[in-house]
Amino acid sequence: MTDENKSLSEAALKALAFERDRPASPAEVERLAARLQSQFSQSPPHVEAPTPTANGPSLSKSFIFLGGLALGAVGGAFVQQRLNPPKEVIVERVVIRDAVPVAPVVQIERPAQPEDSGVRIQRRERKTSPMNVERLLVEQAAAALARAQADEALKACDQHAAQFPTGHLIEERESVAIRALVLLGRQSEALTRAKAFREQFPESLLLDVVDAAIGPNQLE
Amino acid sequence: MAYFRTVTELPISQNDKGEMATLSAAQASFCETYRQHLQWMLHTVRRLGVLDSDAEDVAHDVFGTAWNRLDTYASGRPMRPWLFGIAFRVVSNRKATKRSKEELADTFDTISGVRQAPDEILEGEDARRHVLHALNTLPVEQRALFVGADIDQVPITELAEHLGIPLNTAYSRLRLARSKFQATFNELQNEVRR
Repeated sequence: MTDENKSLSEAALKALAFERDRPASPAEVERLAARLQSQFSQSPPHVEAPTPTANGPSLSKSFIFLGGLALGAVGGAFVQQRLNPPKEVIVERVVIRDAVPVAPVVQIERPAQPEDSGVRIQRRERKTSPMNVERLLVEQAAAALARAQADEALKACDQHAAQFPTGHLIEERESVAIRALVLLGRQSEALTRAKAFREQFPESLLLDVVDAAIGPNQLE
Repeated sequence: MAYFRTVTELPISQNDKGEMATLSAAQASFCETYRQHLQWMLHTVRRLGVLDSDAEDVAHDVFGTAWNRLDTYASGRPMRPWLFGIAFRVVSNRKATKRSKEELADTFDTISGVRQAPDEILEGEDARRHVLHALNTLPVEQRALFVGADIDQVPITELAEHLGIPLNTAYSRLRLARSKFQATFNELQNEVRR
């Protein structure tokens, strides 16, 4: 002990030693490690936020203000160009000089309005497209497997099989399902499915994953 | 399909190497070492009074907090006392919001467990159950000192520093904790012998 602990009896000290050597729970540790790994890999490096100064506006506010000024100037120039038709020679010269900064603004901003709603509709359609649903199901299965929830993984795989019997992600689904079956201790089912996988996808990149899950030389 | 392979199939170390390139030195160092402390942290949060079912979530919160507060870790010093201080705060905050429900469940579980214990000697699971039950009778501030000093064997000076309390307060809490722990432990032993 690090400190004087004569106030504890021998039996208590012995019990504390048992508690100190409490056995590990590998599955729990693996789950926690997987969760933390995904969190740490998604979390960007810590960046200090700029601190606002006590006497004036912050840097970002200054940028917004200057941006607004610039936009106003460009807009003003554009309006002026439209309102004053180039009748006189001297006016034409002014328009030609200002045309360089003004032209890109006209090209970018005007077509953006009619296209905007169309893009939204496209995005909405993409969310519910069959390919997206299929991908989500397989990702759901893979995520469940990563959390060692083989039951959940298998359910998602079955749902995918029922919904997309001729889908694009059968190869991925089967590799998840095989590993889920191995995790559940259903070796014979896993082996049967792995053999079918090998026959159906002899060139698959996932073959080594399936082999590793089933065990060496099981598919020979 | 290659995207799927990168999500789940790659070994952890390979992913880590890829990610570490964008991390600061402290974050990279933390990524290399935190796995050594996962099991210990799961045990520690349970000892601090967290239910079995919540231990994984709380441990996850502790490491998440540690990740966000890496600037408070002095590299070169042992990581466990620092993590222990964070665990204490996470558990304390959690208990402050979920006390009644959790503590009732906690007490019920351990008491029923003790009554079912066999009359034989206190070994293995029985001993551990008695330790957890006796720990549950301590206020969380005293329990943290007891767990840190008498189970994890962290020097009390370091504990005081990471728990943010004066050294004398730490000694005082540890003395009270030991006294209460011993009393409860004796009661449990007597109950089992009867």
